[in-house]
Amino acid sequence: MIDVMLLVLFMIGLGGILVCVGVFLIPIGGAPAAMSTATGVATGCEMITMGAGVTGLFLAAAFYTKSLMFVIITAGVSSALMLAITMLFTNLIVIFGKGVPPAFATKERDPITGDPIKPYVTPGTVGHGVPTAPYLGGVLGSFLAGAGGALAFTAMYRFSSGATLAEFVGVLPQPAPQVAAMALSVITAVGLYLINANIAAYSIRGVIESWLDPKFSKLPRVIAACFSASILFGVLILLVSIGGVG
Amino acid sequence: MGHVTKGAPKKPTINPKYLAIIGVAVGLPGVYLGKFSPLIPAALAVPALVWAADAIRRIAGYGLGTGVPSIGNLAIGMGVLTALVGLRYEPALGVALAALWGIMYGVIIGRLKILEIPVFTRCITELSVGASVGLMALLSAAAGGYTVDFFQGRLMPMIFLTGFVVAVFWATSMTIFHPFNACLGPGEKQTRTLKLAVGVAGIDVTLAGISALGVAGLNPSIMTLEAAVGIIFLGAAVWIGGYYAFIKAAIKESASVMWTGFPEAKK
Amino acid sequence: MEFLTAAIVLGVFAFIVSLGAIIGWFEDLESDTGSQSNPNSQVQLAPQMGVRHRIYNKAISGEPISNGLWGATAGTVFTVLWYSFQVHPLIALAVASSFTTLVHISLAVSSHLGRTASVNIFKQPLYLDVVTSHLPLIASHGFIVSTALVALAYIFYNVFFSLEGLLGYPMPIPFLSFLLGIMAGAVGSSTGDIHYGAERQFQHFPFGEGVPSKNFGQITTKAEVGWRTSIDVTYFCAKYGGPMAGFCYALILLVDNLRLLIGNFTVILLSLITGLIILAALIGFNRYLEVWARKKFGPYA
Repeated sequence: MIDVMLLVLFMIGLGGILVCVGVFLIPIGGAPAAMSTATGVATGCEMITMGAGVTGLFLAAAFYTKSLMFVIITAGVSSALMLAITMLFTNLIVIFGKGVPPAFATKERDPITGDPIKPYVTPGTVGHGVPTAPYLGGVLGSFLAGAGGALAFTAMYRFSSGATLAEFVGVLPQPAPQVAAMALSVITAVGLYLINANIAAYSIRGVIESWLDPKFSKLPRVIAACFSASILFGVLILLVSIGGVG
Repeated sequence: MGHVTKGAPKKPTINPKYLAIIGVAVGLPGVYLGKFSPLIPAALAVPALVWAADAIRRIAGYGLGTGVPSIGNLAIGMGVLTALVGLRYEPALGVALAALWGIMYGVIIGRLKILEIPVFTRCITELSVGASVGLMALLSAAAGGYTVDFFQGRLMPMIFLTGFVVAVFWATSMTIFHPFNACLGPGEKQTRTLKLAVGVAGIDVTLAGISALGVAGLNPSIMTLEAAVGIIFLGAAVWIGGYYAFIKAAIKESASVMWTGFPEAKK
Repeated sequence: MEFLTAAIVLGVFAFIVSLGAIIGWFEDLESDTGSQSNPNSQVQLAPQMGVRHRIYNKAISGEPISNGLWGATAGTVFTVLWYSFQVHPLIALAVASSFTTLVHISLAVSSHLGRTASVNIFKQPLYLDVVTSHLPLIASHGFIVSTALVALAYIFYNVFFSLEGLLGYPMPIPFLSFLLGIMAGAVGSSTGDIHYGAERQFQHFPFGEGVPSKNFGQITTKAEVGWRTSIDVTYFCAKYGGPMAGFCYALILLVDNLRLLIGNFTVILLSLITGLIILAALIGFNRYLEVWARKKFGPYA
């Protein structure tokens, strides 16, 4: 029992760290991006992290019996696909709806493709759309955020249905899903997103240009905060579901 | 994603200390009194929610760098599991845990210099407790009042299996942050914001009543149809009353009110 | 695998994707009718810059949160009627969406009145005809969104238990509609809103450049004829921003359900590989689009 509880705490802590790193990697433009004044996805940190993260929860719920590693990676890929499609459509609307090419002003050249990128920026703005370097950062970030949420979801679901350590990391032998535990797990995963995405959002003041941003250096301190907050959250998870919830 | 004005909030008309005392002193006994009638916790959840909405007002006045809703969501994220712990073991334990966890979150966020707001730890604790008490009261009202074996016997099979919990969960978050978010601006006034908070809390109570109606349909032995309809009517009355007072205040305090017209030309 | 089961699975799959298109499309237009989410900051700032307007200021919350609430509310009312009282699903759906519309209208009214009253020191008048003329449009778009959300959740839930997990997800209906609503809001606010915020809201500035921060608050207040209201915004965004948001949401559901089907029919590893291939294709297409746009538009001059 103790080993499973420690594993749950570890998974929740890891999930918190993954969500936090995910927020730092997703290019978030906030309100200025909706006016093509800044690079990134045109919505708030918590909004896009939750939007991408909950997409992963669907497949994590559908594949609830599969082995832990597969569930987490599949959910992460789901979230990455969601954000990749969203950023592509962001670019389509910026290009055809506003008539500006994707660009950013923090660097002279795109660090991945090496294209000169600064001349395309409108003076008085810091960029538009999602160019390749932040795009790749966003795909990786949403993968991590989705995997983090799926970790919390799976940890809560398997712990509340009383899985042993081998069932926890391997295949869960359950003939039919426990819908009530599924609901509790979704609330847990959403709670984990709400706490960690907001802590990360406050530290970057709501706007970040993926890994190109100077604010990225704040990451270690925020990871420490998210890890401790998630461990606190994990203790509550143990208290709620110890001994099964059915 | 609103435009947030910087600087400390103006001097409030109603002292937040009174709101805090009323919120806890009324909300927590409400959870226990649920065994007499589920109408009691439904009615007594409103002061706790109004108190949490006032705490948002004090914290978000400083400028968070992102939208006001984020702090309400942080509150509900902290409050939901403490509320469930409270309903599983002992509601008073839930409130104590919510306070303790709120302080710890505040210290973590403050010490690691994530957000440097002077009243942050205090406000985040109030938010955590307010959200937790509000959720406990509403969930216990929806499942027929807090009794022994409430969590396993009533909450999981009636509220979680059917999924009714999510409406109360999310509407509580909306109740906490919407009043300040909707009244944001340089002319924001505490009385107007709190009138709206009462109105939105009415929506929350109505949703708890609808969940109670669903529970009554599934298992009449733990929730009577009359009590469920009573909660819905109570919620609707609070909803309409709060909105009536708010709309009157907003119309009175606007710069000018007209049925139609054009703004005067730009200077 | 019988032919009939395969045909039903494919039919349901197509229906899921088409409902997704409706959700994304109408969600975005609903948020444009009243400038919710990010473009709202400019509507809020405008009176401070001396620009008074007749635009609806619907600052309920961020779109994912508000749409999550519509989904959760409608899903709960639907489940109460359908599961607890065995009402026919179609009737339950209509009642649930109607009740959600009441909640939606209440919050929409309070945000416009509250925000207008709070900018009273900048002499922004409160026009009651703006409120009354916009509410039907907001309510009708919101009604379609909540109907489609709950219908989709109902399909997911029932298909999971009747097709032995080939499609759909084992979550309660309110949870499914809640999560779908959050996704819809995230998609709508990060794609469709750019068409409103960057183009329609600043239409008197030249097309083909981003909005410099010195122009913030200087929103367009005149319409093609007369003063602009948010209804004119919806009319414009219905031509590009709204459909694109719907297309985006439908594509997300298509890819996600396709991977679910592949994982269920074959092995889960293949669904993972499919996902990675689609991801690579998306990255490649985005790169092509970026290069094409830079070549076509040229540097800023």
